[in-house]
Amino acid sequence: MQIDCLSCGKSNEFLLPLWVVTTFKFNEDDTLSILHVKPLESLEDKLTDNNSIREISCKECGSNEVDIVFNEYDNQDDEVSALEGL
Amino acid sequence: MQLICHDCWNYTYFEVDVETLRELKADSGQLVIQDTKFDDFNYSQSMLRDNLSDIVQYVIKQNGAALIWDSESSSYQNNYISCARCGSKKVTKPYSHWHSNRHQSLDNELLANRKEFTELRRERKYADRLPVLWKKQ
Repeated sequence: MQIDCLSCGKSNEFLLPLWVVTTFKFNEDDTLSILHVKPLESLEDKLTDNNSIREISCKECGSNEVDIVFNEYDNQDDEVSALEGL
Repeated sequence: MQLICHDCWNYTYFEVDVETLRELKADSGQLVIQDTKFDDFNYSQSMLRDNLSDIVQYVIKQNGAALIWDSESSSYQNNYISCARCGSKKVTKPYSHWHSNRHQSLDNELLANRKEFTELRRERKYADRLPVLWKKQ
């Protein structure tokens, strides 16, 4: 898998907002303690959903223009040439 | 006591949906998901704590604005925070006048108070017609 920033093209680190359900408690001094954190969204679904891809931003430049390649070894030209060879 | 559940009277444990940030790192064909760090500062954890605190403080401050009327259960429900014990969304500040089970429509309220209002009007109508005791009848 490969993620490319179409704006700066040099970063391989990206940020993705994710909703989680947080269980917390009030302490006796009215401060908060977090007991449990559970994801509400599937990361895989967000990565494959075209609308959610826009939420991914480059950590380096902040751009939302990213390109996700799930299998960089899946090259259609190789398949075409192999078929032609046959 | 900051918040209370109207169904099980829990005032300690609650749940809330919070947005946080994760970092994706594509490295040699693998996808690594981790907390976002800038230098040594863990931004993911900080964002989670800040957002949680913001929502809780908002609900405590804007008690009525955080509630929505649910016609199915005929009660006010908290739009953000739910009870972690029973799952109910009837969570408000203690001593809130937005009592979840005490809602009644304006028509019902007017009807219930009609007698009291009639007596009030009657008082005003006959207020200046009381018998004058010092005059001989």
